[in-house]
Amino acid sequence: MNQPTIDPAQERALIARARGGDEGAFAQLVTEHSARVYGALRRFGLNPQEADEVAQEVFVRAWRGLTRFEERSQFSTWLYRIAFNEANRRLARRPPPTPSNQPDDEDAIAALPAALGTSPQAHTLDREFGQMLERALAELPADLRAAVVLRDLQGLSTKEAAAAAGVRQAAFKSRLHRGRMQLRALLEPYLRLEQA
Amino acid sequence: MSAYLDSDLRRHARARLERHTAECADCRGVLGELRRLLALLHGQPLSEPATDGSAIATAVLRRLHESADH
Repeated sequence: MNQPTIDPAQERALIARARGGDEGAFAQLVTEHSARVYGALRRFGLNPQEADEVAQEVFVRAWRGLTRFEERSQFSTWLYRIAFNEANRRLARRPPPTPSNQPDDEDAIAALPAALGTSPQAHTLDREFGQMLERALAELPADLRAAVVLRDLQGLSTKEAAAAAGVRQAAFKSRLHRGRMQLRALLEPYLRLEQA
Repeated sequence: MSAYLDSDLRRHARARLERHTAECADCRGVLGELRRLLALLHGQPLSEPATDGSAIATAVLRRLHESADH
């Protein structure tokens, strides 16, 4: 887990300096937040190269828009909002899937019970869960996936996550519930094994 | 059920859900699976360890300088 290395007061000071054109201060903000932004972009469905490129774009846009950042929300929430928009923009530019560019492991979720049956150790299951989760997230519609990613994986509060997704809290809660239920259905064999 | 697990239900609604899941095995099963799912999600690392924040910062500053030059 990437814990913040600067406290809120230090962050506010860096933002103020960056607003005044201090690139060094902004570079510190980028270094502080880049892992979280990159992680969110990957989980929004971008591949490593796309996530790297889009993470750069997120911070370039943040630099250009710093004067519009209102400190009523957290800086990280504002970055997630930009990342969410940029990820959607990038995903929309992708060509529609065809049989030739479908991933080879598209039926990995369906094959889950057999895969789990060969790995009884708990730590192996944990590692496999990460891989299964990545595949299951990829099957969710983008808005439901983003809700689960922001709230349950990136750890934002419901209020922050709704702001990052650009919807009211009631609408966000609906997305979050539908996303969790779809994820539960996709990962049901694993969850039942955990129970056993 | 999501709101229940997020402790985001009023007391009356919470009690109603608890009464129902005490009697309905299907819903109790779904609630248990959702609870396990959330525990697993909340235990996931936040990002890939290979992410290099300073490399992204360097690339961002390079892009800012490039756009300023044009």
